Amino acid sequence: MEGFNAKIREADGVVILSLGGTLDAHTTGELEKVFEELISQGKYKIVVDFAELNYISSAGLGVFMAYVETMRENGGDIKFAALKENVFNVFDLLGFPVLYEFFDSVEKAADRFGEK
Amino acid sequence: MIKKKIKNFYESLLFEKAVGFSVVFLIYKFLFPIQESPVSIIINEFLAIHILYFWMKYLPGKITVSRKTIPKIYQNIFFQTLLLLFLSLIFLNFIPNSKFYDAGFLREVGLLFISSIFLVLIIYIYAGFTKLFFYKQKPNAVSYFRVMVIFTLIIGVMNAFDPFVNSAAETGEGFFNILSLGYLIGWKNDFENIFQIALIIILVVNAFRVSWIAILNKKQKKTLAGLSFILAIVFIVLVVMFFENNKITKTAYLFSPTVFITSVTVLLYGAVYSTVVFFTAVFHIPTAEEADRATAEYSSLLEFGRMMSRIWDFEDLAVTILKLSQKISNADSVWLAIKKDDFELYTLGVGENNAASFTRKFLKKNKVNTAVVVRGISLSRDNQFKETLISPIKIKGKHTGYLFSAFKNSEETDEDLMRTISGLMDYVALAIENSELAKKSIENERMEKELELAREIQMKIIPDKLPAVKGIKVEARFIPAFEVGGDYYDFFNLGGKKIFVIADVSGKGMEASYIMAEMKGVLETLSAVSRDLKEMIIKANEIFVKRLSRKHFITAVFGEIDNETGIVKYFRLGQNFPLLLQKNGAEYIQSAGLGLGITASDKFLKNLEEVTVNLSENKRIIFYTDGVPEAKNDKDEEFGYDKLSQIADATAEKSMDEVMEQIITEISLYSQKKMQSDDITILMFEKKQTEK
Repeated sequence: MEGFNAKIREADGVVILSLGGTLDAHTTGELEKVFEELISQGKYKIVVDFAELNYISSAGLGVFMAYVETMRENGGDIKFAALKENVFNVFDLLGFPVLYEFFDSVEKAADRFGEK
Repeated sequence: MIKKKIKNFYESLLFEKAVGFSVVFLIYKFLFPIQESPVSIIINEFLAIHILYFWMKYLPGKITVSRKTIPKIYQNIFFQTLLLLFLSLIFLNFIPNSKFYDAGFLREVGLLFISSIFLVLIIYIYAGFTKLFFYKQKPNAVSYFRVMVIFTLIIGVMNAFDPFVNSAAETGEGFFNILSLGYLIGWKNDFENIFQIALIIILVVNAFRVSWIAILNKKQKKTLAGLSFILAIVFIVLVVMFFENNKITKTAYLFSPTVFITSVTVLLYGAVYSTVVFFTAVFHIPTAEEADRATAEYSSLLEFGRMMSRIWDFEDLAVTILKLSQKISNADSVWLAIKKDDFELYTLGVGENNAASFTRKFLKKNKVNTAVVVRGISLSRDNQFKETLISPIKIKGKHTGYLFSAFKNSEETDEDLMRTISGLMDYVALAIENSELAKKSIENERMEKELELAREIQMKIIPDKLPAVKGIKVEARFIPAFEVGGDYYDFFNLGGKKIFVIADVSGKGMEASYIMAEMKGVLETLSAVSRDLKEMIIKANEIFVKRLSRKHFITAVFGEIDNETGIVKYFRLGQNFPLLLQKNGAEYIQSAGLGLGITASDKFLKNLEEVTVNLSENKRIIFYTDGVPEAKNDKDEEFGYDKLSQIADATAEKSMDEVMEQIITEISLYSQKKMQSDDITILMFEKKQTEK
């Protein structure tokens, strides 16, 4: 079975969180830890890079729902970038693009933070 | 000694004494129609107060109050009050004044007769109110009620002995004008004034004892709102009549000032109480939190599930079980007997010592294998139960536990309640086994039990048969994953139309099954109170945004079938696009729609898209949960959407039953090397061919 990994880097006060592998009920715990860690450091502007993520389940969606509001309440946001088609479809089915911002590249997503 | 005798006198043979005093009073009235001397006033009021006391104590005891009889009690008050109004109007308008003021034997008999009828009606109305007042109230209600009675009596007696009153009663003029104003604003001395104000305050406070309204169903509440509205007006009219200087007030005053003041108090209470009842009933009708037993049951299951996964200590578990079953049954006391060496007791609303000896004796003597109701149990002076429901709990195949739900009133237990409690006991059995396993810390077995419980809840929630819809064929399949996946489908009636729901709640196992249980409860209530499907969806979303934690949501399709036209209208809420099998092939119907419980903002409403499909022009429509396209093979590849539509195409001419079999067989074959990780649910509709 394919694992899950998450890497963090920072650029101009924006955190780029790159995900890889499979995000499902068994791996959401790892992602939750990452978000908790970012919040404790006071980092609320986050771009999630989905380029290497191959699969997401509904439990995976729940993690983003759980943290987006916290980021927004603190003047930040979670922006979704570079999703593979099958992953985007899962978000789309649930209506996520209406509520959150999706971009085809990490750069565009990061720039969006600079505009405001 | 003497005290005991007096107490005994006022508490026994109530009916005989009520009749006795009434007869003596009537004779006395014949002999002395008008009271002038203090002694005669004392005798008059002494007798009158005793009549009031014994009838008012006797009569409420004759009225049984229970879930079933409560609407009837209110109806009776309604009719008695209408009769009172009717008689008052006749008396006021059809008895000529000349006859009324023409003193003589005939007048006395007539007035006495009329007074008696009025008094009987007032006492009946009072008896009804008392029963409603005391329904499911805490013991302190008694003192509140007594204060009201005592104040009434004090004011009554003060009126009786006011010399001004007496001289006025004799001449028949003057005082009544003052009385009409005086009763409210206080025309005598400050002392009486205080009592009057206090009486009105306590009367208003007491009028808020309306807990019985909660047990009525929606229809009964609507009727109640109507009745109480009329009743409030009738009572106000009567109160006004009893304040004015007219034949009624004069007659009543001659009869006995105490009786008069008591009557006015009862009427005043009736006016305030009916107003409170009206507003309570109206505000209770449309709320989603309506205390339907079904909702209580499901939300209790939910709570129970939540507790289960946290509680390891048996005593905590017992308390949870007791609280929940009391919430469902409304029993006055509940207790649990679990067989260890002897029966161990856990109690709520009754002392352990009080319940223990009876329970142990009873269970040793009787074998209780199915739920039974035992009548007339006396545990102690304060614990007299007319009905006690005993529900056995089967733990590991043996009846080793029993739940006692005891009611102080009769007619509280019915088949519905017995079924509901028995259902709850199945879970309790699992919970008890679970906690025993926990004690031995067999983690694996516990997890399995928990899953078993989650699955049982799921199976209970999903309908065990399909609804019959005229003109439409319905087919459904549900294949649970080993670990409960949170799929749920159901049917409801809303405004004469059949509503279907197919949903997938996020999360797995116990967690998912609580949310499902809650969802069923919410939808059952909403389908009863919503005007249309859209309103039901919007309300459901609002509730779930509040109730679900941030990371949880529900994807669903809510639809409505019109069996005459064959038109299916549905809203897709974050779920997979339905597959429509048209005459020229299968196609996924895309539409907007956010999942439930994600956002309460107007974005939810803006994205709500109604899709209309005419089954007469199409072959069939297929709704399914993500367990279908996301079924995986050993290479972790998904079954996908294309395969599903290909099967639908290929089986276009087959029956829906065969189509279902085909889809499920193909999914099983595809994912045979992989354990099914999510529930699979499929729902299909097509129009019945009209037979020629």
